[in-house]
Amino acid sequence: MLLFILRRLFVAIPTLLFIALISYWLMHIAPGGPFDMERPMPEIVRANIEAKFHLNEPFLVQFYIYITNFVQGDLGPSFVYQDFSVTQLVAQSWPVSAILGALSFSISVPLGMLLGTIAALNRNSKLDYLLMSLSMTGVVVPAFVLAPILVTIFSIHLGWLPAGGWEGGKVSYMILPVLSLAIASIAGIARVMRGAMIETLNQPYIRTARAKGLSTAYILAQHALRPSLIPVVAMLGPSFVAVITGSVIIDIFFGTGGMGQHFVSGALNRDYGLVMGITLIVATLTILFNLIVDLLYALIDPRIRL
Amino acid sequence: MLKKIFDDKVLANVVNNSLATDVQGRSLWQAAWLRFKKNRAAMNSVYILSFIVLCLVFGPMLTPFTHEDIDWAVLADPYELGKPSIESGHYFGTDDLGQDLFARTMQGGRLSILVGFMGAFVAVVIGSVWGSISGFVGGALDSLMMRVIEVLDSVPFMFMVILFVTLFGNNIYLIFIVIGMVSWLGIARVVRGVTFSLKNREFIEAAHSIGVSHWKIVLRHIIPNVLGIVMVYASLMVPGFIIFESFLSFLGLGVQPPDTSWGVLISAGAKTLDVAIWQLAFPSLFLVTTLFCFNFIGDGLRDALDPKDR
Repeated sequence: MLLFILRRLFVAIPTLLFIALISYWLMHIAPGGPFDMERPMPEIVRANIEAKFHLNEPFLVQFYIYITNFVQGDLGPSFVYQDFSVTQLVAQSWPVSAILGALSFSISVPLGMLLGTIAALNRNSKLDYLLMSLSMTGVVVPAFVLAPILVTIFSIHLGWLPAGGWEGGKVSYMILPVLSLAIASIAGIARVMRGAMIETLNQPYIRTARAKGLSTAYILAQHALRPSLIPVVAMLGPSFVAVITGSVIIDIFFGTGGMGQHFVSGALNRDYGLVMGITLIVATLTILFNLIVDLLYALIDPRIRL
Repeated sequence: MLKKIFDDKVLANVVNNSLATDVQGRSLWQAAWLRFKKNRAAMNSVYILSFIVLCLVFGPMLTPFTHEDIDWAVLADPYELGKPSIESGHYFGTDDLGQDLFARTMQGGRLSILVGFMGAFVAVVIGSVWGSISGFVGGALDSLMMRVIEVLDSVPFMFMVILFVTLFGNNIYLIFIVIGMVSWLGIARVVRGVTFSLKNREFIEAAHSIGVSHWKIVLRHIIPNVLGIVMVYASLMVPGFIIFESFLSFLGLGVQPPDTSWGVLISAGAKTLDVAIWQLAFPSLFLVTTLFCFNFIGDGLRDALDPKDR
C-alpha cells in the first residue's frame, strides 16, 4: 500500500512536468502576447519588459526558470494584474473554489447514494420512475442553463437568496452556486447507485440474508452497501472533473471570484503566468484525487490489490 | 392414422418451420436490434431525434429569415415586437438584435449536433486504433501505451481545451478535433480490454493458423467484435460533447457571430430571462430534448449490446 502510494507520487512528478511543458509550449507558440497593445510599444521598452520577465531567453531556459521558481512556491508574476503575483491571486481565489467544490461534493455523494438506493429498493414503482426521470433531467440540464433558472426563481422572483457575489463566504451567498454545481453530480451518482444496487440485490447472498429474516436496513448496511459502492467510486473521478469544469461556469455566472474565473480571464488576456499556475494546481489536484480514488477501491474491496 | 401424420404437406411444414427457427440463427446484431426495439424509451428517442434532425435540415426553408438577417422593424422594441408569433413570421420570436430565433435555433442545432458527432468520431477512431494495437500486440508496447494513457489521465483536459481554443482562435474545426483528441482515453481502455480477451479465443487462433495477416485479423475479427461496446460508449459521449461545446460557447470561446450554436443562444437567453423568456426557452428545449434522446439511446444500446447480458 505504502509502496503503491510512493510509486504513484513518483510517477506524478514527470506527469506534472509533462503537463507544465505542454501548456508552457502551447502558450509560447500561440500568436499574441500579454504586452500587445493597440499602439505598438517602443522597441526598447518592449526589450526591457521582456528581459524583466525572461521572455527574451530561449524557450527551454524560460521553462527551466519557471519550474525552479514553481518548486519554491513562486508562481511568477501576473502579466496583466501587475500589482499581484500569481501566488497571491491563487491564494485569494483558491479558498473560494475549494469551499464550493468540497461542499457540493459532500452534498452530492451521500445524497446521490441515498436517492439511488431508494430508487433501487422501490424498483419499477412510481417513486423509482419519478426519481429516475428527475435524475435524467439533472444529468442533461447543463449548469449554465440551471444557474440562470435558479437565480430567476430564488433571487429575482422570491428574493430569498442573493444572485451573485461571495461576501467573504456568507452561507446565503453559497447556496445557489453549490446547488448549481451539485445537482448534476447528485443525478449522475444516483443513476449509477441505482444500477449497482439493483445488481447487488439480485445476488444469492442477499436472498439468503432475507431468508434468515434480517431487516432490510441491516441487509443494506451490512451486505449490500459495500459491493454497490465500487461503481459509485468509479463515478467520483468524472464527477470531480465535472465539479472543476462546472466551477468555471459557476465562478463566472455568480461572480464568486474562484479560480475558474481567473483561468478564463487569464487565457483571454494571455496572462501566461496565471494560466500556468492554475493549470498546474488543477493537475496536481487531479492526480491526488485519482490516487485517493484508487485507494478507496482497495479499501472497499479487499480483493483489489494495489 | 399413421399415414395421416406423415402426410407430405404436414411434414414439409414441420421441416420448413424448424428450418426457419433453428437454422437461421440470430446474429449478434440482429439480437441486439430485437432487444433495442423492445426498449420503448430508446425507440421513442430515435423517433424524436430523427424528427429534430429533419427539423434542422428542412426547418430553415420554412422561414423567410436566415440566421444572420436582422429584422429592423423589431429592433425598436425586441421584447414587445420580438415575441413569438405566427403573423410576424418569427415563430420562436427574435433575439435582442432582431434576428429570427427559429432560424438561429435551427442553425445552432446543426452546429451543436455536428460537434457532438464529429467529436465522437475523432475519439472513436483514435481510441479504437490505440486500444486495439495495445491489446493485440501486448508485451512491452502494451505497457508503454497504457502508461501513456495513465499520464494523460491526470491532465486537466477541460483546462487544456480552453487553453487551446483561446490561444489558437475559435475555429470550429479546431473544436471538433480538440474535443475528440482529449476524450479517447476511455474508449482506448475499453477496446484494449476487449481485444486482450478476444486475442486468445479459438477463432482468432484459427485465423492465425490458416495464415491470415495480423492487420486482416484486426480488421476482420477484432474490430467487428469491439464495435458494439464502442458504439455504446460513443453514443453516451455525444451528449457530453454537445454540452461541452455549449459550455465553450457560453464562455465566449466557441462559435463566432453571426454563426451560433445552442450554447450561444442559451447563454444569451439566460441574460434576458425575465423580459424575454422565449430566448432561453426554445433553444433550451431543443438542447435538453436532444440530450435526453442521446442518453436514452445510449442506455438502450448498452442494454442491447452489453456482453454481460448474453
